[in-house]
Amino acid sequence: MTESAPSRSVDEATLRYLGRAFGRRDEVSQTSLFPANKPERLAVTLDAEYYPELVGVVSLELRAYTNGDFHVSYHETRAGDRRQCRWDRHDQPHNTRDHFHPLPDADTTAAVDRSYATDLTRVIEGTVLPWVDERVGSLWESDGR
Amino acid sequence: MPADGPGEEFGLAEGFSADLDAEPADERVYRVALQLYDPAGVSEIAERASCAPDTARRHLKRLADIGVVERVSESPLTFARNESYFEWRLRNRLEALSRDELHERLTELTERESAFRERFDAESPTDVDALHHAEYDDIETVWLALSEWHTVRERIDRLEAVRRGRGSDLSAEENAA
Repeated sequence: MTESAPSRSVDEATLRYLGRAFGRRDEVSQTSLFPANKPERLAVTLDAEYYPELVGVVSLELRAYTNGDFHVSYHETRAGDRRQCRWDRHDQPHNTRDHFHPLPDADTTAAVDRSYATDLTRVIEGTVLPWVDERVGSLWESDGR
Repeated sequence: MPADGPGEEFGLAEGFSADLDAEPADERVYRVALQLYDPAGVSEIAERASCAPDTARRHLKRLADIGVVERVSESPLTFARNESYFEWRLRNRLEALSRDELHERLTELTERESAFRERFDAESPTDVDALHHAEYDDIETVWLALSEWHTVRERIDRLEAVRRGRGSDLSAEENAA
């Protein structure tokens, strides 16, 4: 394992595809491919109408590479607090290639091994979005009334 | 409908999944083709695209004709994503930009690249030892930044290539005139 920069190319086509898929959903207010300061990311902002007022921004950021690597992070601000977690597929010394960095800060030391579906589109569909749905439900339970 | 109460209406997974399932078979095979980073056989691709192997084979042949995928082996028949096709598409997209737009993008990327140089005090991302810039719990953040730097450099190279190509077209036109 190298500690220098990973040399990999962004999979623009797959990120574009995912951007269109997210753009079709009512729960998504905006998708932005490679916005300023995020040259590798598809940023997906969820519609704030769907979660309690205390929660500011909820967003996903997706990175995909032509070597099969990906990083999908969830970001949430709540009463000024920032939280994030991340689903990863890439080689590194601390975990299996597929792994998850849990809330609250996607810390490397807290990462847990996982095994995801082959296609990133399936990982989003079967792992990431069900998690997000559940998270939004639990935000209502803690802040919703 | 936006919710006024507990988020039962928030069903991103279900809606996203229903949209993907509702796509016609050729689109589903294309979606898998995009993600064939490693070669795969027809039956595996069919399974990933939720379609019959014959359907997958037919669409894969068409995608191979266009150049989206390439045949990696004949027996067994396997396909992989054809990287040169996607590179060609990226360049094509840039060809459509005006001279000013091209210049603007290059300026923006060059500025970003100098910011990375400054942040890591290095000439290129491969010169950086991430451990020198991070506590262990933060190392992935540094890797991600270095990966972005690498991407910025790739984009600069691609833009430069397009600009050079255009420059020689222009001088050829001028000579003709």
